[in-house]
Amino acid sequence: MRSIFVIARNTVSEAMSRIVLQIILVFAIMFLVIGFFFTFMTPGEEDKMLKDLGLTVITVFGLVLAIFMGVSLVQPEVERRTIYAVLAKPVRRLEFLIGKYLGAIAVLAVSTAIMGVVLVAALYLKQLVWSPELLVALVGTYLSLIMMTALVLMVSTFASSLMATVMGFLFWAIGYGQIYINQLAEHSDNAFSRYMLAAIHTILPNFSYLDVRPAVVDGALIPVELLGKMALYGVGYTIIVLAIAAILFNEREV
Amino acid sequence: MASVVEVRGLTKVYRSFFGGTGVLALNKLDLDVNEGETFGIVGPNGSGKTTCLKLLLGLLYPTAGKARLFGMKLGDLRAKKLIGYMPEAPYFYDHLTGEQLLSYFAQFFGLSRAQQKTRVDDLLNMVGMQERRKMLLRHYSRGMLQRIGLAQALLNEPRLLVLDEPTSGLDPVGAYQIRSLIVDLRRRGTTILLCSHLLNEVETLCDRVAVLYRGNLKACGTIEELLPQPSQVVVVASGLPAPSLAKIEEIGAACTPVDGMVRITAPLERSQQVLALVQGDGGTLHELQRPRPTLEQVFMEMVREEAE
Repeated sequence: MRSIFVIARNTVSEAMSRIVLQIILVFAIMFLVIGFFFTFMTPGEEDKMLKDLGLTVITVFGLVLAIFMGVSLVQPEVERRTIYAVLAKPVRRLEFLIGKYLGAIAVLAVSTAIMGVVLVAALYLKQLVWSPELLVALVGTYLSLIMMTALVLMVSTFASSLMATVMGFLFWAIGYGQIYINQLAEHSDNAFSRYMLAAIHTILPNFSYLDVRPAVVDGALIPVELLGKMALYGVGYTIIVLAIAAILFNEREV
Repeated sequence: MASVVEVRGLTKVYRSFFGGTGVLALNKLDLDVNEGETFGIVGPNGSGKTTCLKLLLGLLYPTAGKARLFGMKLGDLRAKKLIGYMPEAPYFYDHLTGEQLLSYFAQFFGLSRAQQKTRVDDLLNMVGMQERRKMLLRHYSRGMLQRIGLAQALLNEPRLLVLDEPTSGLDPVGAYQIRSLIVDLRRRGTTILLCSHLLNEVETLCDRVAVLYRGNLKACGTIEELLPQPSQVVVVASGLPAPSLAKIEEIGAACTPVDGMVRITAPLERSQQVLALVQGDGGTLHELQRPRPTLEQVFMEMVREEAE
């Protein structure tokens, strides 16, 4: 347990020292600030525009960060051979993997919080109302980020960094396009492609389950049970993916 | 003497993703490393030295055979607590300073903060990195990384120290310092498993040596056992007249003039006769040697035989 914490803390400090992460975060904040100055384009609906743009920016940059973090957890350690000295210590491979993952999602939590604070500050400065539903949308985004990190981490336990990055963007596209995959599966004449599409629909993540942005932008009330369901889906899916990643990593030779 | 490392029939075949016959990196290796000894594994690049170490440390999995460390299975955390490992050309987290890196690794051994601090201070002093402790690792030279690599391997005061090419890439001074540290650790009773392609280094430091070639164990034993006994004597003398040299050649020795002197090479059993002739005929003895092949020569011979 102690090893997990030690590794997680080192992962956070390593991520914080990376210029790429800082650049992504600065760009995200820049977009949020730009949105603040462009609300005049939607007179009467400034709050909708600002919330919509803000949450979209947080999701997009958050997912880029999640892919970047997920890719940088295992494969670079193997390529740079930093992993040798760690695994030669009394550290289980599972502890290494979980430690790295927890460090990554801690970084994502801080990044999401920073972007969220900028969005709330923008709403406050425009004297617009911010509702607790905004927080639910941020939690939903964060859940999709931890799922994405777990998926990319899983791929990087057996594939190259490039492959893991490509897969990350693929998961992103499929995760937000599950509705189309489902429709394709339903309308496909070919049995094989129908099964394949159904398998993709079932196995790969469905980020729309966690996406409450439209409701939040429209100012609709979000029931508390939905937050529970979102957490159950996000955390449950992540645990399954991490379990697979742990099995794969345990078999991996470094 | 108890075996710290026991290896029986250890085999490693690297296979590609699509299977195939693969590359045989280690073939049915048997060896034992006893408590307190310094054991060297030598061999050219690709002979299976690093593969052997990585198998022992659980970084790779054997294709066949087994090995035990301190009587425990490979990967057992209790055994890992007793081991220190310095990888070849170590590369560490370059966002940390030398001191931070050592503190980071020290935490895996459950040392308290006070213990960590004392141990890190001692080790930084020991490897001569006290002044560079606050410098980021990305600014370290190869030699500095090597020293920090050795320091991190000693954090737990290991009973078994595994060193992979500990002096490769170091300047002569750096290599000497690392070798001195190894000698010091050996004196303190640490069992050392050393992998190197620097044969003179292994010859100097190790009690026993295993020679690997293309994954096969070609020889294993003490330096005394591996190096053949000298069979000749070499005498360098001067002031010997031509008839004396003729007499010396008659008993089966070869005489070669060298810088105004003569170099006499004779079978070992004729050494007394040669000396008697040199001194009896008024010659001056300058040098007397019983040249013994070095590990390097023996090794090159083995490699040549294998290649043929």
